[in-house]
Amino acid sequence: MGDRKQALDEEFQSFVIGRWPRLMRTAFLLTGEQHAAEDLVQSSLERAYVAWRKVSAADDPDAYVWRLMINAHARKHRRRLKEFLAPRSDADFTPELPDTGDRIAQADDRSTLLKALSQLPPRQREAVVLRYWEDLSEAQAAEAMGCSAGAVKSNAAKGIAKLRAIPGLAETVTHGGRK
Amino acid sequence: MSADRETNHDMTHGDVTHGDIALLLADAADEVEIGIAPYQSVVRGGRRRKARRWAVAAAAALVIAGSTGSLALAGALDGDGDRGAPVATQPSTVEERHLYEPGRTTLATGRDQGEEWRVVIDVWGAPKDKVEAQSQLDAMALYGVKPADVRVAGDLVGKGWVFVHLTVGDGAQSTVVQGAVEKGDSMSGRDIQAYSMPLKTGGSDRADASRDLVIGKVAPTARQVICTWDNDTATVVDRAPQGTETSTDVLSIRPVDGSQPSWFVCLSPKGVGYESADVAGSVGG
Repeated sequence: MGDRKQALDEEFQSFVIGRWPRLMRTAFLLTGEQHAAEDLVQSSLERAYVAWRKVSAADDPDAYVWRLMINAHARKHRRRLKEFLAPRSDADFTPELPDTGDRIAQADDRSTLLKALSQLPPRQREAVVLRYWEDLSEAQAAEAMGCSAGAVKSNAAKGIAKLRAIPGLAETVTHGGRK
Repeated sequence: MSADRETNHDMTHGDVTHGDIALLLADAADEVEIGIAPYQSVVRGGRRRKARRWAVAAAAALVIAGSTGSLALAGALDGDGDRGAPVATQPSTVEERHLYEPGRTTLATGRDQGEEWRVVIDVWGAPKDKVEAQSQLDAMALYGVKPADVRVAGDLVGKGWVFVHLTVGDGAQSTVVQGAVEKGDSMSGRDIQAYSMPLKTGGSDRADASRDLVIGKVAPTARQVICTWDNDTATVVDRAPQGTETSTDVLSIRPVDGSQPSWFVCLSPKGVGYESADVAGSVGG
């Protein structure tokens, strides 16, 4: 009795544990803040739990959860036009760049990138994160964002252009980033 | 992340910095503290969402006739059914109209995981004007309930209201379904609306102990409801025989004062979830 439900529960547990680290990193790039990332991932997984029977039957549960997460992120942005993320309010937008490999410099680079990401419009941020961090194709990102592949391409291009226009980041990139 | 991210992306723009940005993103993402996946919290949150979604859906969909004054208890038999039907009457007193005190019917009771549970339904009659509506709102507040989406008392005029409450153990009574009752709403034939929610008794967070409670309403002619569970088993609920007192521990289809539809409750076996509910037999159908 309940074998099917038990199997679904076990499958969901395995999914949550297996995907948690990756989803946390994605959510962190989207929100720029630890607790906001945890909230975003947890609420997305709760929604996945509600529909898990259908989700697990689908070919790609990851795609479903990405979509849940992007929708939740978009909803939050709609509620509060200016998000609370701005991760390091005291960070200089054009930080001095010491030698790469220096841990402090590395932290500055992260800070610069997170701040730059947080200043992108949400759709551009989502497109950049899905394309360049999650490594999704334009079609996959379009499905997650509920828009056309063309819109993903456009948003990602604009987002990347803005990131590259940021002096500190541009220099880091020009220097080849950190290895 | 896939190691070949850089090679997967379109580099036709001659822009190698795409790969660098991917590396920077990966580096920035490492700043987050991953922690342990909060599986139990996710499941609890998911269950709450299920229950909430159910209640919201129910509030939007509920249709109960009978409290509007002109249709107190519509017998509503399809065809020449053999069930003696109450005749529509015009309640006159405030008490009869259940204006400031709801008509209450116990739908079901039971015991699970050592805890008693009870489902009751309250039906409030429709106020005729704003004065009655305001008094009714005040009375509802004393009962600890508030109709959803009602901003001012005037919104209640001409509408009855139904609340279904669940009480588990010594816990507080919670409203699991609520909705307006408007003139002309009725169910017939094999119409059914059913909603499921987890029954949260002691230890029911364990997957093998959780049970779903299904509450629904059907036409007054429905004789039998079949609740199907997600392991493909089913539970049959029959209409309580007329003219006899059927214990509320026996899950049945029951008429409810002030409501045109009858109501029923099903309880899933342990560790099994709700799948669907159907009317299996009805008078004239």
